Amino acid sequence: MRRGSLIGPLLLVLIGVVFLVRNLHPEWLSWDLIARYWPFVLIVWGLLRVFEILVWRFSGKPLPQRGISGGEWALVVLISLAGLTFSFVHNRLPRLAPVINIGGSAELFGEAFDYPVPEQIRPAAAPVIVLDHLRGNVRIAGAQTSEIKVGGRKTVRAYRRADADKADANTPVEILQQGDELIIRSNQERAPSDVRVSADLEITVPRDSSIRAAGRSGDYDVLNVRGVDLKADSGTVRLQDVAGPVRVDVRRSQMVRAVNVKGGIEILGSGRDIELENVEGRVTVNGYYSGLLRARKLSQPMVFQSGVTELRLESLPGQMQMDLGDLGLEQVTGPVHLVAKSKDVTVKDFQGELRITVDRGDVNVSPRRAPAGPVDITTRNGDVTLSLPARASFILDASTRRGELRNDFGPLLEAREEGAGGTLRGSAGKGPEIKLHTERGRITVRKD
Amino acid sequence: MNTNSGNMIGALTGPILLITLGVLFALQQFTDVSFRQTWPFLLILLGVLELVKRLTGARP
Repeated sequence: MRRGSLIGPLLLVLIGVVFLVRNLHPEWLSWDLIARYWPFVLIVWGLLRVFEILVWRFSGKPLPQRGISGGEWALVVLISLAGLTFSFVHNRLPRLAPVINIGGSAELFGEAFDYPVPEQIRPAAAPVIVLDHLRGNVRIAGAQTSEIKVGGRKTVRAYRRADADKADANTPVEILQQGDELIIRSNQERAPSDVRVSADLEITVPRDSSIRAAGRSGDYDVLNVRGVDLKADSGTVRLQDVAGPVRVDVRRSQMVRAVNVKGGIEILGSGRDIELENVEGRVTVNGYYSGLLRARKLSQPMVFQSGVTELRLESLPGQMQMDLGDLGLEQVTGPVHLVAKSKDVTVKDFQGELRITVDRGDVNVSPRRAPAGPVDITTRNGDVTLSLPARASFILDASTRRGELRNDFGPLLEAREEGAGGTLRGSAGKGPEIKLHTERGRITVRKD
Repeated sequence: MNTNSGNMIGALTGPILLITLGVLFALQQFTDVSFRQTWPFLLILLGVLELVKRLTGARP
């Protein structure tokens, strides 16, 4: 009798169920989840097979020569490649993810019909304005007024005009007062699943309103309000002139941009680029942002945590720029702490303490003025270059396991060769402690 | 009996490797340990399992 394993068919059922759930209830199972947890399919498969073999053994059936057949290994390789590619694409290029969206065929094949969203004006008694907006771009501007004004345009994608007309009539944009909150509803969830409604809205609100919005996709432009709390699945977020706190939680955003914010900023979720300028409150970024981070003029501390990178700084009168492979900081106040896996780091003109730990990458530090706080730089694989002013005072302890040492300070520093590397120690005056260490790379102490 | 446990190891080699592969990928996903660093572990494991199989007496 041919002994059949149950796991192959089970795997097929699992893959089928995943796609079915994605098509029927996308909110139950995000691609994010699949991109993260796919290795457990392999683990569970292996465990089930071990269990199966034990059962066969104790029921006295003959054991197979090989626990996993050649064909099954081929499937393992296929799953691994698909999983690796998928998590790579998902993590690194969030903007590609919507392309892999399966289902919602009207999005691709239907026709687009346009409808106006009639303008509505209401007295805005409530300071909190809630936007329950599923799809479409929103522009919110604060103005010297005590009314709220909503208008715009709606696009319905459907196969037939009659379906589109019906969907338009079913999804009016409404303004409702609920307690302290003024709610703008798009009612898009009332549209049938083969019709896609999206609305581009222009909203004018009193200047001192706070905005709370949740949406599935679309860009948000918010200008001149008191506070912003935003949750979106994808799109670009641009905020300007916000008098209070900002909180942004997005998935797959292409850019989050905030300019002239008086309160703190908290950015969660995932996406590509972040741009911050002129922020007076504390900045926290905690999520997965794989693109370019640009910041200028932050007067309070910033904490950035994304993937394997962690950056903390006390304030940034100057500017910084960070992408996957590089970090540049200019005019920054410490304590500055950086932990990163693979980055070339350049720090110019810093004050206070500086601690940098990178796995792979060159570190280039020039304090311009004499460093005032301790400096501690460690890289496992890369060159370390420190440029000090000629009359700086410091206590230096530099070492490389494998690589050369270059010293512009001459006899002030004592160089010693040790194996393939060496140490450079010495002091000038009673300055702060400077520690430089690389496992493999050159250490240069330069005099400016 | 000996032959039987050799058989057993032979049958379990595949699943054990598969579990390890899954664990290495999961490690890459959730920690800093990347698969590029850990893959030789699979070779070692395969070697060890093969050794155990031969030592427990299954005739090749």
